[in-house]
Amino acid sequence: MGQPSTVAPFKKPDTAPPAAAKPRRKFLRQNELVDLVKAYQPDAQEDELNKAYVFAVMKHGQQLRHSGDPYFAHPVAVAGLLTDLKLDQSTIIAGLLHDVVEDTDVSVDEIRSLFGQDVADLVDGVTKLPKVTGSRTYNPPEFSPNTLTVGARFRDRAFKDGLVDDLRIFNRAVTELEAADLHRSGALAGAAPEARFDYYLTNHDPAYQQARGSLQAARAAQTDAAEEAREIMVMRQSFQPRTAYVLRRGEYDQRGESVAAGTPEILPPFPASEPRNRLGLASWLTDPRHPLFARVTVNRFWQALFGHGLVKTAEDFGSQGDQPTHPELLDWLAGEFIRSGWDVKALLRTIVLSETYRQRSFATPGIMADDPENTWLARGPRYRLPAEMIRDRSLAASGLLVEKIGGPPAYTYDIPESFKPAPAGKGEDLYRRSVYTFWRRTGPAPVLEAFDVPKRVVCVVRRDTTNTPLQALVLLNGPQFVEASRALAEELYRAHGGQRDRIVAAVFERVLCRPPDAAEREIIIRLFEDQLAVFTADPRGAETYLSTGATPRAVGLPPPVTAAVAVVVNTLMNHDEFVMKR
Amino acid sequence: MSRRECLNRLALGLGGIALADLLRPEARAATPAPGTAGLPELPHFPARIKRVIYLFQSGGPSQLDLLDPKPLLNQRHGEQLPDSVRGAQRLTGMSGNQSSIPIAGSPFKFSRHGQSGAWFSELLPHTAKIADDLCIIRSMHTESINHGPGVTFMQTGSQIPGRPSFGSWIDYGLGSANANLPSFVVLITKDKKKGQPLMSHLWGSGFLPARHQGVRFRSAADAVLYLNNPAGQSAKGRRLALDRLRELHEHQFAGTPDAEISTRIANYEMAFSLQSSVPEVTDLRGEPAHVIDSYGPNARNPGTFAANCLLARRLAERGVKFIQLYHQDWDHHSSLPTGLRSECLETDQPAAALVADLKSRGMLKDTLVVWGGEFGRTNYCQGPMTANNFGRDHHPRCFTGWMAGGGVKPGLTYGETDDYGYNVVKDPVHVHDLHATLLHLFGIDHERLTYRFQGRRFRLTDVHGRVISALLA
Repeated sequence: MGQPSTVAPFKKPDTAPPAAAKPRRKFLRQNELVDLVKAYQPDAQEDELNKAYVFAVMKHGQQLRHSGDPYFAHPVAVAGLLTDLKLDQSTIIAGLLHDVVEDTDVSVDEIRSLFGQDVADLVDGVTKLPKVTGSRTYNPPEFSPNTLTVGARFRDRAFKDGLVDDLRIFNRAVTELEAADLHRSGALAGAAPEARFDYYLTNHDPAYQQARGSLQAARAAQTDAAEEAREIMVMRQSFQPRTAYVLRRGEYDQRGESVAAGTPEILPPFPASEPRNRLGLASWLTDPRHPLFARVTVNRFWQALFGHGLVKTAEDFGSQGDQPTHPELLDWLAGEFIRSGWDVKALLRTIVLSETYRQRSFATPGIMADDPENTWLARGPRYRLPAEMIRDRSLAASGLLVEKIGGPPAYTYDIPESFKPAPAGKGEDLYRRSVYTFWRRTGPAPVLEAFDVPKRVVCVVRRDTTNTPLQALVLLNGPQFVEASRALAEELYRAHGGQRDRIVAAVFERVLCRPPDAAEREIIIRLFEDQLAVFTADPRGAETYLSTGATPRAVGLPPPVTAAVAVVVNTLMNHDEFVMKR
Repeated sequence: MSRRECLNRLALGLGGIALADLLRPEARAATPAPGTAGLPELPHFPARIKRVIYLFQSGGPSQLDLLDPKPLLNQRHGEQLPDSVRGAQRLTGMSGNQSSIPIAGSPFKFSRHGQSGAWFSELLPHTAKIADDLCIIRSMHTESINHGPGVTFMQTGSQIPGRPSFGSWIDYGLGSANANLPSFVVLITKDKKKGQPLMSHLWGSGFLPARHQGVRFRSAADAVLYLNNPAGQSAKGRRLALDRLRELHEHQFAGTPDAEISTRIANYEMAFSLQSSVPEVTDLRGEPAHVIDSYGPNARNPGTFAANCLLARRLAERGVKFIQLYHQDWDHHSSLPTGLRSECLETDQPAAALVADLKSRGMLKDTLVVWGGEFGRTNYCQGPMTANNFGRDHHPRCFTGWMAGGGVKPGLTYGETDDYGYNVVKDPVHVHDLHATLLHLFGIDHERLTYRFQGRRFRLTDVHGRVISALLA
């Protein structure tokens, strides 16, 4: 027989009566209890109830509860509670006797001989239980993984249409024979020797017990290993797909006809040879004869390069979407894409080497006025870079970018600022490409959110791009960008031996990918001199500014000059050409 | 002097004269800078209000213990709720499993207040004092039975996340009145760890452009993300850097006269203004002590509901059109008597003070204050019921909220629920109706403010909603 595991320590009643304690509370008298039972069970045996009442009072004798009440007040109160539930006579008697085996010299056999098998089983069951919660009086103090709850849930008022009869807890699986013996005492003793094999192995065979011990240890090791691994959600098709129904007027409990997965009739038929699952769907979708897939895909790449697609409603090629502006071009690109064997790189090369793409993004005022959205492509693309590219670009320009591929999400500087904050990461996590930035669904990283990444509440294939003051604050003040600025300043200072004019030429090229013209050079030099004056007057400010971020500071550089260069870098990172593709 | 203090003092006009010209005049004065335009066709008709302060009580405050007294529940306290009251209506998954659903009377005393004789429970002594300013709606009803969909429905007109919030529609339609502040600001009572979670999609712009989403002001040092200059960079150094950046942009614009570049120039100036206008609005040092005190003992503690109510008034003064407060922890499934008392202690005085403060400044005539949650609570007890403790489950079929201010009838108690407080029996007001009415007060026909997305035109009120003209003054 397995040992019942301890759920909560059972509070033993005090056995030594405190000197001054006296019974204080009125409790249910013998005749009152009998009347209560007879009120709903007229054929109850009065003698049996009386016998149990007297037996309990006698056996608990002088025991006192903490409260000072005689101990037998407790079983009597329990019996009273059971009459509220209108339970049968045996249960009421078991309620009266439920602690005598536990706390006095009475044995279960004695109960059996005096009150019968039924009552004995009930008392035996209660005796083996350390503590049970989950009844009419259930009122959880709070939830903990170590609380076992029976028949109740969270804030329920008890459980409905039933009662827990007998509950025992074991720390291993009981064998069939043991289970039978629990239900009907003696089943074990009466079983044929061959039927006791499992029981024998479990309880008496050292080799078996040892093997079971090592199996348990192995399982524990496996569980520990699994629990240490980071869990990610994956999608898997259910083996038994649920039947879906048309819901009348959308009410979830108003089922109409059942429906199965299928594809729209206007599109090519689903091939009979394909399985009707996601694999089949992928085959159907990428069939070269499918009229939509290649067009939709090349349109999205076009959108990525030009800022808008040949079909502007990239998410909607249906009757409610926009017409393609250049239908023949879309068809040709789609055809080439299929013929190349879905070669994305070749597609991108074709587009970016085209004359259309390589045009200047700014045209004559006439053309700009005639076609403000560049629908007809008489000029090159112009749009604000996506959030990820802006952050990555600053990291790349500064030399801090970590180009490692793959791995778990990275927690950037701004995650602690998000609506559901989490601590920022350390080391290279801070400089990974933005595609690895931790993304809580509906709460993207604040820096990315400022630059219009969607919340992923709904599927978005076309982001809107805005131009707001809040973006300026991120680029000017965000630690990621300030750190990138000072890191590049430190590098440039060292590379050019602190010579102003060489630094100015290099910084422009490094950040904006082109040399400055004469006017720009002059503005940058004034910018540098302004900042140098400010930081020379405030060397501690320079020190502080250069301490932004986790990257160690370069040693031996004069803080005011380096800080002035850092502000130059940061100013160029706020330049239109840094965030706009033109 | 810290940078923050420096900016604050500049904003209050106490800074050095040499630096004064670094700030735009709008930022120094309390008069708002001209904002961005909304839709040209709006308003559809003259507006009654210019702004809304929405005091959202998240979790579902118990109408039966606050604003909709039901003596019958006290008479029949402890009895089973008759099936005839409930009809075939389903219960929540949480109390549907209960072995009994005993009627729970309110342990709180109700009395009538003001000329209008409106009823208030003893938990709302301050709100009771402004009885004659309130337009109380007892017949609100909604469709969702749980918090996530319920709050989303109340804020966006749809139970499913992804639609624009009310404030976003207002910003999209009407534009902003002050370029130095966002026109849709969100303030959340801090440290409410027990309440139902709030999600940022509640003030999201859905399919409207992202600039229309609410800007959450935090109670931290940076009310807006990265508002302050990085440590070590002085306001003077920043101003000089921005001047050179402006020159670079102007030079670029001369060769490439693209409107995007002029927008960028303007945005950097606005960002600089925000750095002073936001601290200016959140800094209470200019408020007279008696005004702060009227909002109650928590008003000096930033991020409390009281401090947020006062901040809401300051934002309203500066032209912010939609100020959305959230106060969590009204979800009293259990321990309702203590829980409700504690939330009322935090919210009753500030909410009433806000209305009184607006009124004393003459702002209540064109400001609307709205108070309410996402649904009500059941007339029966959830969980154990003892002499001094019980709980109530979610109840979407009726709940009570109030409005005060421009365009609505003061001193009105509108709508009726049955004697058990279970169903609406007169003048129902659906969530869509409330939205239609609020838009109407802004001068907007809720059927004509639409946005085309994924092949159809969407409205805040979907295909529903009617203006409740009986509420209009």
